[in-house]
Amino acid sequence: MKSRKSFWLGTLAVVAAGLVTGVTLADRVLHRPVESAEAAWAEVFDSPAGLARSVDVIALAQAVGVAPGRVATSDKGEGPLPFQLVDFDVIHGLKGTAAGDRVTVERAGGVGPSGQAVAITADGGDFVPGEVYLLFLKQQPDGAYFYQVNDQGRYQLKGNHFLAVRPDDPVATRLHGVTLEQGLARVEAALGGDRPGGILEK
Amino acid sequence: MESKKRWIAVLALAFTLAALVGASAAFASHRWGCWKYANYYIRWYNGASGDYYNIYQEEARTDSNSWHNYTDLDLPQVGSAGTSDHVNAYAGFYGSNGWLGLASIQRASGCTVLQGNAYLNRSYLDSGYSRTNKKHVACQEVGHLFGLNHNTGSSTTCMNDTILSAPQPNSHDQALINSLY
Repeated sequence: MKSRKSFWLGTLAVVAAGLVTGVTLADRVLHRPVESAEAAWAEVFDSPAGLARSVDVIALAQAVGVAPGRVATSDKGEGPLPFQLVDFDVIHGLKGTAAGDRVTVERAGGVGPSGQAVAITADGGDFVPGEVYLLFLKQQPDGAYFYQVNDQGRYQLKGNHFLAVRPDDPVATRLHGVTLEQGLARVEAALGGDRPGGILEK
Repeated sequence: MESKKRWIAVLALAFTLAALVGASAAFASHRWGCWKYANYYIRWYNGASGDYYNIYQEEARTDSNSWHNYTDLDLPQVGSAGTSDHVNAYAGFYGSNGWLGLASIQRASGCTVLQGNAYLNRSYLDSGYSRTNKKHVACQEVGHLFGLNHNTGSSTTCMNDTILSAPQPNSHDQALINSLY
């Protein structure tokens, strides 16, 4: 009798320890203060083909420079939000651009007028000059700049593989972790429309 | 001896299953990183004007299911923006940059948020978006600052970033906020 009671108490302790371990490990993985901004995007796509069709430019491009841009304020002139201008040299154009072109992307982030850095990570964070990205861009209606359509529209090339901003996104997951060649082929297939067997249409 | 080994195997299995259950629960929590304010008392500065002011007020303080009324959070309104224990809410024409709204942790100490700013982008919201849509975005951006992430699994919460038709937190958000604060 005593042995059985000890067994169940022991089991209970082991289960409790397991629960605590699981929660703690997951917490350490998930709850890191690495992202400091979130966005509600104007457009969220449910298929890579929809993403590819919607944007004006799709390019494999190298970031070559980051410069401070405008500082926007609220209607009452408060809460200054800095912007950056990021120049990219196009390595391979898939839509709306060609190799050798330069495109400039405007994004929120940078240093505010008080000298305080404002890190906007909702779109994947600061671009790093020298790094190569697969970008899905739209042109601003009121300017010469482009903008990243949302967090589904950016894949950094690391080694020979693309890394998505949010790998668990149902659209981004189609390009996350694939090789450069596979990624470009998948985008081209998406641009090819709804043809049967298109990789991105699965 | 055989019996002892069997019990050890059973206990190891129980531990593993419990760990998996615990990890799954943590993954499903819809926390945004480890962010949270120091405590439930967070100063609320509404820097918007016109109906955007009303929208922020309704979502943060005055609706029955606002963050202030529906959760354990206490959001006393203050007259100016601040850099410690503050949510600062703004609306303006931020341009065509893809986002309707933005939540930005501007000052923090470790995981503790000191200053969170919410922005509503009128460059988009002023044309073609309903008042309900605007309320959804306002609710979501403020909810982020309190420590909540997107939640695409429910159509009843403003934390779902794939819809714009649920301008309020739901009971899951309420429980999560109350567990944090």
